[in-house]
Amino acid sequence: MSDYKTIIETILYASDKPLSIKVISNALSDDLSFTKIKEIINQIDNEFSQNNKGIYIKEISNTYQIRTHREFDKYIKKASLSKNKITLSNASYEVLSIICFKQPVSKLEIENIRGVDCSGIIKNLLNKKIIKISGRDTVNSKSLVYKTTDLFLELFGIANLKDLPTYKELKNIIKENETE
Amino acid sequence: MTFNINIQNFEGPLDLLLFFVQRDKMDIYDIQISKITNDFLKYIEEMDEMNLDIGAEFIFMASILMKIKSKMLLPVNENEKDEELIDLKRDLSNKLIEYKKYKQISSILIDIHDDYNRTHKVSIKKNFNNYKSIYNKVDMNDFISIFSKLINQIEFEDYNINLDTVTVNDQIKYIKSYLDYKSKVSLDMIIKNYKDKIYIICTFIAILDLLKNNYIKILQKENFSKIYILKV
Repeated sequence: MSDYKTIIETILYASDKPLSIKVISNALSDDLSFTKIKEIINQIDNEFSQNNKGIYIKEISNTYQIRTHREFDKYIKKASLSKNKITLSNASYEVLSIICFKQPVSKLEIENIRGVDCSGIIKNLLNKKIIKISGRDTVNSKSLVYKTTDLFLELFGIANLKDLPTYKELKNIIKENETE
Repeated sequence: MTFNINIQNFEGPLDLLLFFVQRDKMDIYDIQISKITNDFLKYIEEMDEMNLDIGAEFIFMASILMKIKSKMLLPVNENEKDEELIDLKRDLSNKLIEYKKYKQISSILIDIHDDYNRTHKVSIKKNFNNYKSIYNKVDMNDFISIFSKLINQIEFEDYNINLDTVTVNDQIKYIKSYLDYKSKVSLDMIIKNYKDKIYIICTFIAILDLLKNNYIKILQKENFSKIYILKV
């Protein structure tokens, strides 16, 4: 049993990207049920925290990645180990929030909301692979429509799109803030 | 009244209007058109004085504001209210409300990102597995950028109408024969000798076709590095 634990832990260390249970299962070559693998991953994560390690396992849309705890950020930065983070402009965040909640959404719809041309920002987000072209609008104009990618979830640490507060919930949050 | 605002800070006309509404604590459902129009036009003048490019969207918004303002100046007949005026005002309010919503959502998104940026992924830097297959990961955007790069590499000479025609099938045969002779070839190598757009297009489609039929594999070491074609 501990053997599997060591193997899975090592694979997670070695991977550059979050790993799905399927990938881990293939790597193990033995028939270990997905539930079992998930159990082992939870065990590893528990051991990390029990032993006061500076790392934890993050689940992002059914994939897993070892990450450092937030409190060690300043030391990592001081040691200049911080990897090139993706930085985004305020305009990019605006476009992303529209795509995030209205996806799949066309450029025209985004521009209608923002009131400005968004071609450059959309191209940039496409190149960074934070959004993707998901097809064409079937109803009107047949224009391209955009969706967020798994990388978006990875960059923002969102386990699942469903984990984001829904549009309605956000509206309530915003309404509450306004009445305060 | 002094008028001092940082021009860079606004993402567009709606952002600017929202700033005025919030600064003057106006009711977003009942905007003081006259005041906001004056402020908006002053802002555009300032941009102009500073030789900044005034986007068409700003001019468009200014024209909407002035239309509303001028309609409001007309004497109103109590019995027949100006439907268009009501619509224009309502549209403007709705747009501002919608934009405001997403501006608030985006500030939540920034917080989420900033917070998550404090955790770092742990991974061993790998030097093995030098070539990764991009076969499964290429999306349409990748192909568009690869293709436009290829097209731009070619220096086109004067336009000649050439009677030589080439077909995708020709190019499939050509690439196949190339790969029979040499199992790995770079993409640059294959298109190097072509000076005609149609050849490159046919070659590109031929490569995609071969890839689809699992006859070749495409490898790339890292972004923007040479692309290799391998026989499967």
